[in-house]
Amino acid sequence: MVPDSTSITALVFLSLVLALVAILVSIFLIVRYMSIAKHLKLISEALSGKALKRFVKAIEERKSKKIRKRYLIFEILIYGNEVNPQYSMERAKVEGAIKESFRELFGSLALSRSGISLVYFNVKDMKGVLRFKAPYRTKIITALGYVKEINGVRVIVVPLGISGTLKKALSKLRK
Amino acid sequence: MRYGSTEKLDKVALIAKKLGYRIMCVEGLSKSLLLSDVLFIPRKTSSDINELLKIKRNTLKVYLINSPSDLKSYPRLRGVAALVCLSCKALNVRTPKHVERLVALGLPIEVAIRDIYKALKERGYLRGLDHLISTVESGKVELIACSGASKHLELLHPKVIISTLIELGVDEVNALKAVTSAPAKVIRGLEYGAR
Repeated sequence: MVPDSTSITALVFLSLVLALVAILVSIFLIVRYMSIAKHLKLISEALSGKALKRFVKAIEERKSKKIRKRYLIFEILIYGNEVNPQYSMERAKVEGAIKESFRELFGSLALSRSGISLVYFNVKDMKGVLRFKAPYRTKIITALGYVKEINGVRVIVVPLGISGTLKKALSKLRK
Repeated sequence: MRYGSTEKLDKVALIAKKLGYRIMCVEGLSKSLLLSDVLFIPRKTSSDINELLKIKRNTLKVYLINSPSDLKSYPRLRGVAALVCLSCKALNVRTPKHVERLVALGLPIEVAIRDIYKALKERGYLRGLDHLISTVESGKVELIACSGASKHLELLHPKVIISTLIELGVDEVNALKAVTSAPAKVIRGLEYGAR
């Protein structure tokens, strides 16, 4: 039996429709599950000059990830009969003692990379703010516990808190 | 406070309160005390099991390990001591076999941060501590960290203890547990109740 021309065209049309549906479904699945939509968006955005510049800048920024600074608020506790009432703690000696304990525990290289510096120190309250780079947070706190004496007097350095800006750190300190 | 401290408790209580402590276990106390909102619990640390057996019920009994030979009578320790404490010397215990014995005990292990500082100054590399930390990380044993102070100015802030443990390689969660929930569990066992 030979099929007539109308049935052949109908079959061809049906197979074409099926193929088209299959292609659409596969494209939809690829876009959905392989996160190509994001790339497509990026490519379309990259076609304009401004967007291209922004894209390049974003990649450059991602490469040179900026290390954030943090501010640690601390207090120095001095108790005991051995302390002279006229005794006052110098800012440089406090900074030196903290840096020395850090160097003893983690070495000179880590000390230079941590960026420790005493930003503020109130001699009356014995409270201060220490600036450092965020990844060295636990190291700095450990080093504070390692400080035994400052200027020949036994002390405890107590970490009170950490903040992201100096302004907030100072406001916390005054509370 | 450990190892026969003779410090006046008023001073200790003031500093402990400032550092955020609520309960302290002090060597040489006959009964519990509440000073400046800090509860002081009597504690007895010894490497002699017979001595620990004579101690009153509400005292924290701690078995002190100075050398690997102290672990010989370890099966007798169960039910006597509430926890095991590693001294400065024991932090350098060499073989993992000793750590295995500690695990078999099923008691929490106490490590004093001051002892670690001291041992680090003397030796540098602490094998025993290294083995212990890897065992703690595998979840086989519970770690308790304390400041190990013998004077009031040797107390450490809990944040300092946690940071030191993290720097030594302990996971942040386990480090936090070592200062908070693990000691609270031991104290609850002494019928004081965690505050």
